[in-house]
Amino acid sequence: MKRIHCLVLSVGMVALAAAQPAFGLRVVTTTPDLAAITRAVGGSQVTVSSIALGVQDLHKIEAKPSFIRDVSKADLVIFNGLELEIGWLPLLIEGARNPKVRPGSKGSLDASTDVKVIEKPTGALDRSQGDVHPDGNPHYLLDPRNGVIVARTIAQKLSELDGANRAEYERGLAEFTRDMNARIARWETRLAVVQDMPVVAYHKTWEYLSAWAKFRIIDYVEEKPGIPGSPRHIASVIKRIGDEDALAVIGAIYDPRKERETIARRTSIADVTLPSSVGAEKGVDTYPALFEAIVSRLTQVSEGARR
Amino acid sequence: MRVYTCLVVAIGLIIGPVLRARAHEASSTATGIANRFNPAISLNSLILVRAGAGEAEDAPVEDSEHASPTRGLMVQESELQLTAFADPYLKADFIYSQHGIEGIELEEGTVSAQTMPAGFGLRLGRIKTEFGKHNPLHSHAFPFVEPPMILDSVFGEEGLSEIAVELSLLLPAPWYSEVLAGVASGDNEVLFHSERARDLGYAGRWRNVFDLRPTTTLDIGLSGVAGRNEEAGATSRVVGADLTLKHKPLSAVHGKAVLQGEYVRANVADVVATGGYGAAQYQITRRWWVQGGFDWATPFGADGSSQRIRAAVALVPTEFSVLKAQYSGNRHYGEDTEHELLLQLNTTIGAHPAHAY
Repeated sequence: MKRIHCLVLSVGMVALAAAQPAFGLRVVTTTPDLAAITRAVGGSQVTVSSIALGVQDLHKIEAKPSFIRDVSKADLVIFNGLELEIGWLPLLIEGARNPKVRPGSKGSLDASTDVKVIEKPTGALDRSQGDVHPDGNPHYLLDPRNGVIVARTIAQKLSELDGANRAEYERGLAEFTRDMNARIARWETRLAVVQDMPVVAYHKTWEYLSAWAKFRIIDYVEEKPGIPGSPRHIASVIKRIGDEDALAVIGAIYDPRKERETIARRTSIADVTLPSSVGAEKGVDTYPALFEAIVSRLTQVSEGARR
Repeated sequence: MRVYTCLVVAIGLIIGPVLRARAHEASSTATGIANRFNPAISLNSLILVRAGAGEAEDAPVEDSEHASPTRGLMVQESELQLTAFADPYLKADFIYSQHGIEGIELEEGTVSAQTMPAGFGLRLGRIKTEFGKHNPLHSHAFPFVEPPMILDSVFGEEGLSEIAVELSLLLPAPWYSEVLAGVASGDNEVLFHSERARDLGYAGRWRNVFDLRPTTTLDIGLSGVAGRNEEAGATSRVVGADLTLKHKPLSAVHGKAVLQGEYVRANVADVVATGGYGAAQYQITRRWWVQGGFDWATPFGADGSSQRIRAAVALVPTEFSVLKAQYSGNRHYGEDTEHELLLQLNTTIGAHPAHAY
């Protein structure tokens, strides 16, 4: 009988230990940028994992069952919003059977809530216009000022869920904000050389970045969002590059290279891959590091053209 | 002049109320007419061209809608899907289908609970039973134009779809492990055949998915259904095993690959049906896929089996349209092989929910 009691006690203790979170709140984010900002704000009070990796196209993540497992254990799910994850996040939340993170629950946070969204379509909308986002362009974290806004949104949510550590989250937010604001000022000084620089982009990924860095996107390799450019469209892009003296064709690591290479070869402009997320390249492992890499690459394009 | 005056007055009488109405926007509070909470609506359509030799009578399941022997151009199927949260507690998902151009039926209609204890899921309604990988699919998500022959033979032309209650549980394993158990009305025509309300059908599934790499998963499942078959005076039982290997490169826009196989064995009293399929799909470029597969079935009480090989090439311009050209070589009960060519256009309009992994 004693053995049975010991066995039951041991199993109970193991089960209890397994049920306890290793470090405070368990946070699952959809993107590595949101994970990086959450880590910066939450510090050691949170355990953060990201569903997407930095090298992946955030529109096209597979809803793998292992992600369902992660979401099932989460106290908080932070997502980018603006329908960026519409093709896969609902499957993860539905499959996770976790009432804490269902839409409308306290543990569900749309990070775009306080962001000033651009390119929100007005008028009639249908899929003949390509893969348009009805709520506006979702790539807002490519403007570092939005990263600061999102950090505040995240800090408020962490404080709401874990009031005991509110001071820690406020301290984390203040530190992140101070650091980012100082960096933004320095980056803006360096970016003066790219002001009004004409470029062609593969997809509508860089609108927030161009609005902040003040370079001009004159055209897109894609004919419409999500629709590859036809030979006729590529020819018109090449002509426009000549007309407006564009300096580079920019894209993310996951964008198809063929059309970009064709354009770069036929116009002799630079084919530039920019990191679009934390983790997209070696060394880009924090949110500030993402912009260090982007700013360096953009200024190199401008300086290269002047030589 | 009088005519003009009358005309102006008449126009004024018509336009005046319209302008007044626009000035005072009609409130849904007063009219009771609002569309903000309408469900997400989508429509899938399958248009098919079928050409080739072979007679309808040779098919393992006659008059099957999926394996329809009709030649020429046809609307194969249309599916209308409505999805919305009813309230904070329930989500409803209803799919109406029309095979050809006549008759609309409820293909699947479920209400799922949103406030179950952590780890549990509950849904009820008309459910495409979670048996293996292919049975839960709707026609527009089939890898090939028709379903595997063994599913037609064992479950009938529309697969196994029952009025049921289904409980699922995510097991606390280091990998994804899910068990499902369901109780159904037991009215599948091929398997159950019982008029008595107390003769229910039972279904179970255990699915395990392992991440072999960040790019690759291995999905292994075991399924079973059972229920009373009054006509045979016995219990019908079907068991199945399935295995799927999926690969998707992290950042390349092509190179996705799927390898899938499923084996099914059914018995009603002493009469047995067996069969299965194996299939491979590979994305050769951003928009083009190639795929091939074989399947076989020995239907209930048949003296021999049917075999089929299929090869297809698919153009996928966007996630909302697919044009598929398929060759099928069908050999029924040792007779000569029949050759068939099919061309299927699959389109989706509206807000269609994402497909499960």
